[in-house]
Amino acid sequence: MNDKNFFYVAGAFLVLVVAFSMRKTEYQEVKELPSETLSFDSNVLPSVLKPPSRLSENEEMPELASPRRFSGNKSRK
Amino acid sequence: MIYRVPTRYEELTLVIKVFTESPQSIRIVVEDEDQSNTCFTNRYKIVDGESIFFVRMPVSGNNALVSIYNEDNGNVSSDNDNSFQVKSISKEQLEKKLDVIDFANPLVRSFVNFATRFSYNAGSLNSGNYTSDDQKFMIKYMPIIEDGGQEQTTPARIDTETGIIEVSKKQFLDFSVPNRMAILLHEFSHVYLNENVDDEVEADLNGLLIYLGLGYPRIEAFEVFAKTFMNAPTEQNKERFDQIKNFIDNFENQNTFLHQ
Repeated sequence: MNDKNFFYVAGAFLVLVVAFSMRKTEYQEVKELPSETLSFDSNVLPSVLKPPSRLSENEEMPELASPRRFSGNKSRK
Repeated sequence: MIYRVPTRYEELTLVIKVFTESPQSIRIVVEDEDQSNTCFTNRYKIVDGESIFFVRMPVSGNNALVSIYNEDNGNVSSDNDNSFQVKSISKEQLEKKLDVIDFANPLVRSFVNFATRFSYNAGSLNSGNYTSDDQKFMIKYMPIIEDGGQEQTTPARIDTETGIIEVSKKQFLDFSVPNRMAILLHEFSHVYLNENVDDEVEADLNGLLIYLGLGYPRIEAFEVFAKTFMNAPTEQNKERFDQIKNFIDNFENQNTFLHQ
């Protein structure tokens, strides 16, 4: 393949890539939702969205991060 | 009418273009298809002509159900409502301003991760005590928050000595994911960011800085503070709301807002 043909092919490929990336995706309207929600398995979630750990009933409370300043007066904000 | 949009757990902005031939109140609701009680926005606008809804989603599920409907007619299929047209639904990159967030602070990094995971899953979590991975933070997810048998109107509160956050499940179920994030970041700020632990406005603004920097939507921040203040309509809360509005407006315009 000579240089000119190579550039034609590369250019055509580039045009196709740009055209496909600009194509708007049509989302289908959902006419009917399932009558029952299937039980959700949180194991499928990525790590940044997995549920946080739940302490069991007898589990000791951890030592949490120290508040920035101790006001000396117990309060809830 | 409802559309299924694959969001694939990505950060994105949903762009929804709607057209009406006369003024119509059009509502947009975006929910997670798989997780119950997990809503990303529930907003409306009077549309006259063409209008665009931008729904910022720093967090999303695998698929979103996007409901778009005329409030006068309810959420019916397109065959049964020709008062508006959905011109397009598309996904764009989410704009964030991470440089305003102090991610060098390990507590900020840890809490943002914890709050994100709690907020996304709160619709399906059982009541109980939840901790961050590094066990630096804990949320007591309670059916309601009460003192002496009396239910409290606040959706969440933090103990300034221990750092334990109490959250009302009854209220959180009705809040969107962004609403939940705004509330948790406010509580975190009281104890871990504020100069004055008692300053509510300082906590509002410290929390909002992180919230907006992460790319969460403004309207849901306004909404959650308005809901909370309506339960306690004091002069102080009215001033708080004005300060919050100024802060958000200035953040969008990249102006500096000083709170003293």
